[in-house]
Amino acid sequence: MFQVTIKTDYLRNIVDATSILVDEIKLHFTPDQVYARAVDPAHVGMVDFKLKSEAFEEYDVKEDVDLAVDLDKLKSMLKLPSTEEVISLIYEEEGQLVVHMGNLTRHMSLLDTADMADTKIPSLELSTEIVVKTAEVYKGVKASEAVSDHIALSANPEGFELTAQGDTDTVSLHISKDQLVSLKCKEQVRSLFSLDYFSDMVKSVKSESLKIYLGNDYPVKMLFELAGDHGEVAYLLAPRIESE
Amino acid sequence: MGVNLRPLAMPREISLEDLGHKTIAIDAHNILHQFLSIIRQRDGTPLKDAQGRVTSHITGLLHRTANLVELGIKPVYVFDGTPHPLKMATLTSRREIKEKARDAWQQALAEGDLEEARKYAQQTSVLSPERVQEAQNLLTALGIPHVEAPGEGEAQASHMNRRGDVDCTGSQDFDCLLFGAPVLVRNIAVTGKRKMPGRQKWVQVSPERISLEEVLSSHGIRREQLVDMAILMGTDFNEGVKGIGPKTALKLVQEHDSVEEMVEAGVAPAMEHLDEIRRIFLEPRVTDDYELRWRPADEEAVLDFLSGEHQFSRDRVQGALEKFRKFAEGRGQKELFDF
Repeated sequence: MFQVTIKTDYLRNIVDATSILVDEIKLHFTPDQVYARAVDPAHVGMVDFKLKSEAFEEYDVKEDVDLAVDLDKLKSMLKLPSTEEVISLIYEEEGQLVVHMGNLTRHMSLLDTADMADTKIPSLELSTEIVVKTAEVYKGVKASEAVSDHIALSANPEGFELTAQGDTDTVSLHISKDQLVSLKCKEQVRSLFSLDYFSDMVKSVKSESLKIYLGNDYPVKMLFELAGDHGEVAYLLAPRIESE
Repeated sequence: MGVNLRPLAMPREISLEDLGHKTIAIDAHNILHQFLSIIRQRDGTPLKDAQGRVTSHITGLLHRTANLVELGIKPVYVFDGTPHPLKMATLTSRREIKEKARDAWQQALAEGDLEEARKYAQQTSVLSPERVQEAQNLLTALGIPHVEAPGEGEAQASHMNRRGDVDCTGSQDFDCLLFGAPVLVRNIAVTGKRKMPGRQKWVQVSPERISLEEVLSSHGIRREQLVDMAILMGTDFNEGVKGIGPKTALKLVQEHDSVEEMVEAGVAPAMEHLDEIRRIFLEPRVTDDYELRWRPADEEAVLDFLSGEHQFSRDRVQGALEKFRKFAEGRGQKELFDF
């Protein structure tokens, strides 16, 4: 049983960041943070976020509680023409979450957590770390969408590059080391990704910069902050392997 | 075929889409038999090419596999090896049934009774070594993996499922549960309306999923007891006890644990080859030597074989190949748990 109040924008950020991969999510409320982890049905993309109690306006969680929510329901609430700055979530009765938004109250039935398996995180070894302005990556993604379904991310000690190869056209965005926030890269790495997933992930990044961990024909990990520095979202995305 | 565990199996109806992105080990002989028996004309004549060679099995295999890969399902076909000596009696009686059915089919045709003709015709299907070879050649050309079992195909498929190399076992045969398949999926060969034999009646057939764990826990029994139940009811390897069906067998193992204890309590006769049959199911002859790799189809080879040799419509074969092409492209996408 608990009661929390959070800025509407923060809740929207979480719902946006997770609903690109799944329709339902199991949220773990603990006395000092909320976290959740989910993988899409095709096992291609994973989201893993945590939000510390400090990110909330009010946070009163005495013991661990797992809630499985239908993200569409939360989305429909967040779409309402409301200017309320905060939303309260109250869990008092098994199977039901009460959502208060100003003078609006919704009793939301929850899903059965027993039907939702916990998601394991694959252990990845990623040596290259790139910190880049989100706006730059966003530009590269938008340009790539016009020519291809795939995007290649590559890095070497001199810089970071996004390339998309279409049937007739190609797009590339090169960001040299001095234009990056930081770069740790010893050798050339390159992996190819589905642009469907990658662009959804990039578009849900709300922080000014984005940390990317890259390997060779290997999943990419992207980290960004949420709610100032009180929360963090990690995305994992499996690569496409060219011509086996 | 196999033991009828249906009353205990608690199948859950699913749709083929639910199997999307999953791997499935399909009991090849079982599914090819279904194609041969179902894909027939109204009077029971199977599909044939211009030379009179039966093509029902390869038609079914092509289009059904295309439907599976279109949904992103990754099939691997598992073929029977050599049968266990105890299965000979079953095989002989199946052969006799087929011979009788062939006569009955001819007679029904002579009398102009198409209903009867089709019914008997369906029982005449023979999966000859040549037909198995044709199916294997087609699968190779399509880039779909196939495995030859040392013994029973369903035992090998169940073993691959147990090892976690595939997500489920595809067969009509409940024996897969005895072989320890964690997840059995039935009705993948034909879905939609299926005609009831001998009647002008159609039933809706949907795929169904059976979980071994659920079957065992809901009846409070162990797999060894399920095997003992099957032995009492009769399997492909023994006759069974007259009058013992699934319900009685369940009650017996729940009350007496094993066949030995039933014999002691005087509620069941001593069963011949008891330990041997148990071993067939619990320690089946299987191999770990297989490779699950899905490759792009060799389209030219597929067209040569189906349209060239057997006069399948090129357009229809191309239509199916398109699905395999998309499947191969989609496979470039790795999964997170591959790493």
